[in-house]
Amino acid sequence: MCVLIDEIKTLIIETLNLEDVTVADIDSDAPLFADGLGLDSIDALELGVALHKRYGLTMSPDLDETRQHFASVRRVADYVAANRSC
Amino acid sequence: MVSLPGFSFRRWGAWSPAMFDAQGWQAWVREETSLNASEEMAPAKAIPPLLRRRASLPGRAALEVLSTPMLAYADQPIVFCSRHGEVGRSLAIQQALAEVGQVSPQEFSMSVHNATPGLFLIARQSRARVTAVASENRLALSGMFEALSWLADGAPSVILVFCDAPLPALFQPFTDNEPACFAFALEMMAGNDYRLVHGDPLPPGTQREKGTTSLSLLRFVLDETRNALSLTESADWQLQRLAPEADCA
Repeated sequence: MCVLIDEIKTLIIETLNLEDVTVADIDSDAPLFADGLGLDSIDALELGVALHKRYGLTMSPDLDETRQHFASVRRVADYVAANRSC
Repeated sequence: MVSLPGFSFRRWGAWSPAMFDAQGWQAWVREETSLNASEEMAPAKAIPPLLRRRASLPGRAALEVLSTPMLAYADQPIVFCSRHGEVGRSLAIQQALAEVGQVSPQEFSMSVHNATPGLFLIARQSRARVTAVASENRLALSGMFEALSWLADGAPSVILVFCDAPLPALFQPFTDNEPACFAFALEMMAGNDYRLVHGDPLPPGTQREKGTTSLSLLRFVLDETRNALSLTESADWQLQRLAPEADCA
């Protein structure tokens, strides 16, 4: 799981052009949006597209469910591990 | 002959790769140096990283000049002028659509012509007004028209900002290209240093400008030895530098 967590952190940094942020800077359990890493709704969409391309994931149209999966890097990794198709 | 109200330029700022200060730009005016076509990004350190990361190559250059202390931006209306704007993003979006059928939401959100001044005003938490202008080889003229409109509307001063970058290789065979990524900003206000004139014969020795005119405008403003700049290929519009009025004895 550690490998997957670091892989997702790298994906976030590269996809969202996070200058001067390293894998070590991202807390696996901190919120990705607003108070945590400070990402916004456009980043959420961008990340959704990136996860689809990389792991073949399709996000649920249920907003509450999607919010749960995007709460932190660890939650994203759990979701990827359980649902990836590639 | 049509003559519009006179105006002045007060503060200015400019950025291009390897051009670090006003002395560098003055050397460019004297043709001792030329612009560097590298893809170096402007630092734009005054813009928070989470906003700065969204800017394109020309957008970062515009953020740099808008936020330079030399300009002392104070929430004036902004006239944002770019000939090609976010064409690099638009092309990438179309290629992604053709190849994988999915586009980047971030690229799409930043592909509109007024995205860069929007980022700048979000960073400043300002509600200043923006006009975004795109025009081929009448860009300098169109931008000054817009700025004069803001002044006529009562704005004490206006920030005129120009930015562009070399075109993606796919488009280069089809039009004149920009020599390098650049941005510059001029603070414009009512005054008696310059005026736009239509239909006047060009003063002897004035060259007719071809192609893009935004860098021609910067060169003219910084070169006080010149008194007229043709703003269109037919030279029907020109920018005249007015002689200082003699002091009354």
